Amino acid sequence: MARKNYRRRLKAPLTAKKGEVITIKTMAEHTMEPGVRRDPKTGLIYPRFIIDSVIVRYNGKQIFRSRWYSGVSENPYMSFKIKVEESGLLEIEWIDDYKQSTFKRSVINVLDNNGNEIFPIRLSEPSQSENLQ
Amino acid sequence: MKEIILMNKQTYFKKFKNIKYPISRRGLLISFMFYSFFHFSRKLYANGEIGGPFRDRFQSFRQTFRVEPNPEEAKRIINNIIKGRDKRNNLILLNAPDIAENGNVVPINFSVNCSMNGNDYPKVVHILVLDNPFPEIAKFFFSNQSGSADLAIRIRMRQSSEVVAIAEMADGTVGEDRFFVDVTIGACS
Repeated sequence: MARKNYRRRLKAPLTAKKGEVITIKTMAEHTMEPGVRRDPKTGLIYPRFIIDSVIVRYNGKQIFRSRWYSGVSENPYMSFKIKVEESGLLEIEWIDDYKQSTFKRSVINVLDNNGNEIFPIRLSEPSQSENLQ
Repeated sequence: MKEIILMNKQTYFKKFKNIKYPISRRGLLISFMFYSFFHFSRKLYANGEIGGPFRDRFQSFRQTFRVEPNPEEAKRIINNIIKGRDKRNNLILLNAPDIAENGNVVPINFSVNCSMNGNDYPKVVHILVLDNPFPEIAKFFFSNQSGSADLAIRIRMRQSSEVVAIAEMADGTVGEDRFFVDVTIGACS
């Protein structure tokens, strides 16, 4: 049995300090068909089927995007760096040639020097409506 | 009582006589004919029914037959990216192995010398292999939030050739770096 073609991997640190630049490693199990190879027996061309673009979002905001062509190797591995200021959700989207997208997500907890977590929404501060009263 | 207006055939067609089209109907028809001619001829070229070998550099078709590499076309792509701007020294640094045994998997990585603040970040980084049938390999769009423009990826190479990385900064300045890689067994791309 061949392995399924939609497996995706993501390796990111669980915790980080504020303002730290962290490396993120991604890999997608995919046969990147370049659209040039032929079947040796029949001579038919395998149709092109590649991962077209990869989008990286942090807390819903797009921070990095890449566009791939048929020159990228099969089971494409990519490692890049991002800067984190507050803890949040890292989301990576692989989009196929046929516009099918697959996701992988992970949560990163960002700590300050005292060891307290920095949330994207601050709950400890009193809200504005309470100050008015 | 509601008024019912009955129209003759003649009065009905008189309504459309006064309408002024932005393009004349004859012009529209001619333009459509031209468009369809180019559209279908392109498909015929791709299938190999007319003309010589068709090089689908833009990779718009799913099936392409075997294409030979053309380094002149790769130079033209690079000229379209740089557009006659001066290249900055030591902006981008490309690393690759000197000898790659398997052309299917060639690990490369690059880093851009810049503080990712304000306007000092690379908008796009292109990666090209000059002697591949399709020289364009990948584009990377960075932003201020990506902490440093370091990246590693694995690529395919048909034969031993130069790998080129071009960084387009947000200021409009351009940097380039090249690395020659020897490939023993080429990829079947």
